[in-house]
Amino acid sequence: MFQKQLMMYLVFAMILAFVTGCNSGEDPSSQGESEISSETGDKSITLLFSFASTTIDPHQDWMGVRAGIAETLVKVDEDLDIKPWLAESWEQNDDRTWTFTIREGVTFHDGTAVNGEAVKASFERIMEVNDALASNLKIDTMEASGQDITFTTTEEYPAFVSELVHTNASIIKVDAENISEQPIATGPFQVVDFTSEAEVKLERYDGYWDGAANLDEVTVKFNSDGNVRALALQSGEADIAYHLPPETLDPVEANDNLRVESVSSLRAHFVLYNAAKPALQDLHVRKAIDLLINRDVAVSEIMNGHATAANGPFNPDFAFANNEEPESYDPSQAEALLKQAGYEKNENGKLEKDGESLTLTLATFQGRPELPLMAQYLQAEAANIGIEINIVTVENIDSYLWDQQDEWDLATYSMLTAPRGDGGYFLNVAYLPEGSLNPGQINIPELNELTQRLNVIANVDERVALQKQAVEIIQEEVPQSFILYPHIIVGVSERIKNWSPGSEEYYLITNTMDVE
Amino acid sequence: METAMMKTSRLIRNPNMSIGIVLALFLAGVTFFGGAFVPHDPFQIDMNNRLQGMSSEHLLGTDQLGRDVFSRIIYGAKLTIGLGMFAIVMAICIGVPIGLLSGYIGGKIDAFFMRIIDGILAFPDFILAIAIAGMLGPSLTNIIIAIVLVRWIVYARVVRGLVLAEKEKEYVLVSKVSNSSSFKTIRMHLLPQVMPDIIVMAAIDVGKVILLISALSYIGLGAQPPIPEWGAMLNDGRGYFQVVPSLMIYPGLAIMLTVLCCNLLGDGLKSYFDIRKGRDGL
Amino acid sequence: MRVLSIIGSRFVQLIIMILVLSFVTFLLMKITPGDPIRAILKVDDMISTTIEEEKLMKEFGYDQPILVQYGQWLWNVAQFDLGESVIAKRPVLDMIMSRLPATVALTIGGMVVLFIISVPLGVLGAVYEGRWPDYVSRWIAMMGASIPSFWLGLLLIYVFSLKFNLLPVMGTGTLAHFVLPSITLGIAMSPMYIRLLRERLIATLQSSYIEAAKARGLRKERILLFHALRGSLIPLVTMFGLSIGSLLGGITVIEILFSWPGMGELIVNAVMQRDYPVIQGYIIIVGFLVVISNLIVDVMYLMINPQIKQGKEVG
Repeated sequence: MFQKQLMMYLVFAMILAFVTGCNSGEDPSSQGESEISSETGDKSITLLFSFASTTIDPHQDWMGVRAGIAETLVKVDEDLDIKPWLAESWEQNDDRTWTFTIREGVTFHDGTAVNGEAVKASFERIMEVNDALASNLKIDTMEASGQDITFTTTEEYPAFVSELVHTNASIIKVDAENISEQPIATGPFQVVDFTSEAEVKLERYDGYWDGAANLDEVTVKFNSDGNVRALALQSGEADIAYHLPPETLDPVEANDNLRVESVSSLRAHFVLYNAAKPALQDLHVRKAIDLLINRDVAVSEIMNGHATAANGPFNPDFAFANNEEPESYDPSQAEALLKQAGYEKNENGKLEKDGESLTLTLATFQGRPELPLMAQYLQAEAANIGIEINIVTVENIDSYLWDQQDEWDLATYSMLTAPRGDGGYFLNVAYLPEGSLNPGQINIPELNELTQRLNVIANVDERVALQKQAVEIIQEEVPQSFILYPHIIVGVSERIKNWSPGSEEYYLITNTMDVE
Repeated sequence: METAMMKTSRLIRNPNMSIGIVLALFLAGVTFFGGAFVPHDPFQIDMNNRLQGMSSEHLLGTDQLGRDVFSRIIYGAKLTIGLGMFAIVMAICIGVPIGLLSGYIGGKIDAFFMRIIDGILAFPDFILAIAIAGMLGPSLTNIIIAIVLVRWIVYARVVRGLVLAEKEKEYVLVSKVSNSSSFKTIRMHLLPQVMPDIIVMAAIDVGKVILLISALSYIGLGAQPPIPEWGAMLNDGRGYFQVVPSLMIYPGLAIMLTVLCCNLLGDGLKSYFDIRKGRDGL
Repeated sequence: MRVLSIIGSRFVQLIIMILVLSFVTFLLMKITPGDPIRAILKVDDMISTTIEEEKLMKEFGYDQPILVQYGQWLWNVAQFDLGESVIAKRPVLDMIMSRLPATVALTIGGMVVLFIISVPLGVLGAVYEGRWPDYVSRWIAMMGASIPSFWLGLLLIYVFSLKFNLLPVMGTGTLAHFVLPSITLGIAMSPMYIRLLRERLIATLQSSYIEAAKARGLRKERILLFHALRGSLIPLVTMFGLSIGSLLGGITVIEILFSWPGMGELIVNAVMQRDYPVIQGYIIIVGFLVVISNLIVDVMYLMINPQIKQGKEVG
């Protein structure tokens, strides 16, 4: 009897072994033994990032440049000015042609030199695998000779050089095998191992053209839960944790071994109005809601001070932003505006006009945990003066806003308003009627005309002047209510030296960063 | 036959049952009358009093928007417990008739039906609920739809099994032969036979559903703000649990107490009805 | 012959499960608004144009009628092709298989904890039936069944990772990573097993062959350990085989809580991003796992059942 039972257990054990055995090569217990490799004298750090990568192909995922694996021809510096990177210089030949000269001595991780031909091949691959970037770059033809490469665009395109900053426009060795997991490029670190949606392990590339990195090893891990990232930083599992939610900062700040770095981002949080809704087509109503937003409290309480109150789409640090004070919180003024618009309080204390009460649906999402809080705050303020707001929290805000355009009136939203140090992108995608990020169907003819003019102007001063005008129109029309510019909040271990986060979030791992 | 008195005293003598009844009375009191005694408006936002600790003013402190946690938990009892019960009642209303009919009719229809049900039952119900709720979009209504969709099957399955065992017994056959309508046979003879099992399952299931709702809320598919459903409160308080652990602890305790109450009642009722077979309702 | 018919009926169950569930999810996905195309285009604030959208729709075949799409998918599945993830652009089978080891590893960890918890408590309950250790054991089981597992996990993180800084918060890697998720899973699963073991032990201890062993003068501890407990473990293993489905469900929340890169995390992300091929693929793989484990239980029963009866007589 005992033997039969023993056999049964063996069968069971075999099944388990079979199931595990199928994939024993990737058994998780065999991963990550180098967790504390600093003990062996190696300098290694772990960076914890919020967006998981499913591929590390630098032409398709941002982590290639972010993790210091790949590099682009040009980069932006702290002031978001364009600076040479793999290209040491460039010149514009005419409205459609540019010639870039690639730095001598740049090598791929396998030691081969980078020349014009390699750059051309890299861009050819971009056209193949990344439709969105391809349509953005508008490259017509390319010609390589020696260290030079000449681009010709399909149309007059003043923004071409700044588009090359895009991390997917990076230079990689195109004939390498398995680019999605083991790309070969020019950065200070090369990929040792990549586990989709979990981590990238990197080691120093000794032949890096700008001086080999100080660190021996870097691990970039992904975790989409901000609370977990904060906890992992405190327990020492990560040395740098990106995008910490403001509410998790107190214990991090209280910890002597940790510091919080906070830089202004290129992003704005705002309330988007659905221009297709009759109630919101009334400027008085939009202005009234704008007055109900208490920006100071949102900054100090919800964001724990890690934000700047907003007065328009662009951060006041930019030349093309305007420097007016943000709209102040004034519920009585809001009430007056609504009265002007014809709204009266009914017996239940709700505002109503022509027998219809002012009830609005506000869409929000958890992806940025502060947004639902702002939504609830606005809901409470609105209730005080008789506007009923119903909140819906959706998982995928973008498809909701587009696919259910009839259902929402307001949305808390967040966008990069000046991704490469220029507002042209945002004016195009968020305000033009056919804009790809304009689910609220905003259509302000005056602004459209201005944006079209902006698109063909290269001169920086003229661009600034036009964008300032655009901001003024936006402030008059209130198609959105800008709440604040959030900071990028990064928790950093005190052992990390020579490193601070940049607003652009393009260059996370550098050759100069170091540990004690 | 036992007298009603004896039955009641047998019911109460079971220690689990008596604790369960006390808990249930307490929760019922909170659910029905709690609203009248809450010290604060559970929806009143007060940004100047965020994340306060316990005080005489705010018994369990305030949350991330300055709302009174105690008031919200009391107010949330109605929602959380009510929703759990509602979902189970709906599942019973769908599952029991189908189970009764399928078992009573028997034959190929029954066999076909049960094949499908067995197929679905073997799949993890939690994942199914995530898939349904996830695709319908996060809201309490959709969660209830998802839960009813995955739970009714269990009732249909169990009831059908009981009916199969029961319907060949003499009294049912007599009823059939004596020209009673099928409906009457089912109602008069079969339904009363399966009732005790349904009651026991339902008692335990209410607890399970509350756990299910809270888990779905934790994943982000739950109630919409500012609704103080306990699972949603747990989810909202997650980010603060280091700074103000009470935001996590008390809603969790409330859930635990309620589920415990359901389990105690279920356990007590099980031994009261003397249901021996381990029907865990999966 | 008996074995063949069992295999046959389990296979039918598998087919039905996959057909019904995949069709229901397919239908649900198609009738509810929201599609993954926009999610693809919106990665990191990328620009999208309507042309691209149409192109992608064609590429994934979303411009076809629903039934054609479903038929196409089934046809591919029949050829062992689960398709490619819409978001990650990787073969679905690869994605699921790369997540399977982590889930299996956590399951084993959970089982170890489960064993450590439920055997002593079950034995206590049975041996001291009706006395205080029995009540303690039953109350622990009762409490365990009432705690939301993710809440328990959070409390464990709070105590062990933050207060004492002993164990990691997230991810996999070292053995230490296994401790908290395994404990959470083990506790969450244990109540059912404690109860079952206790009931079985009580039944076995009263049975005739144990009486016979007593009569032969064997020591009580020896009887308990070598005869009764061994006999009672069979239903436990059976139960494990039959409840693999609910285990895969329960493990999901724990995987999300601890950022454990298993199948549960994969499916939740897929649902959120409406990544149809991954959801459908998951249904197939899980259906397969569940049916296989049920089948194994069936066959084991067939092998053991006559033996157990015999054992009783021989004693």
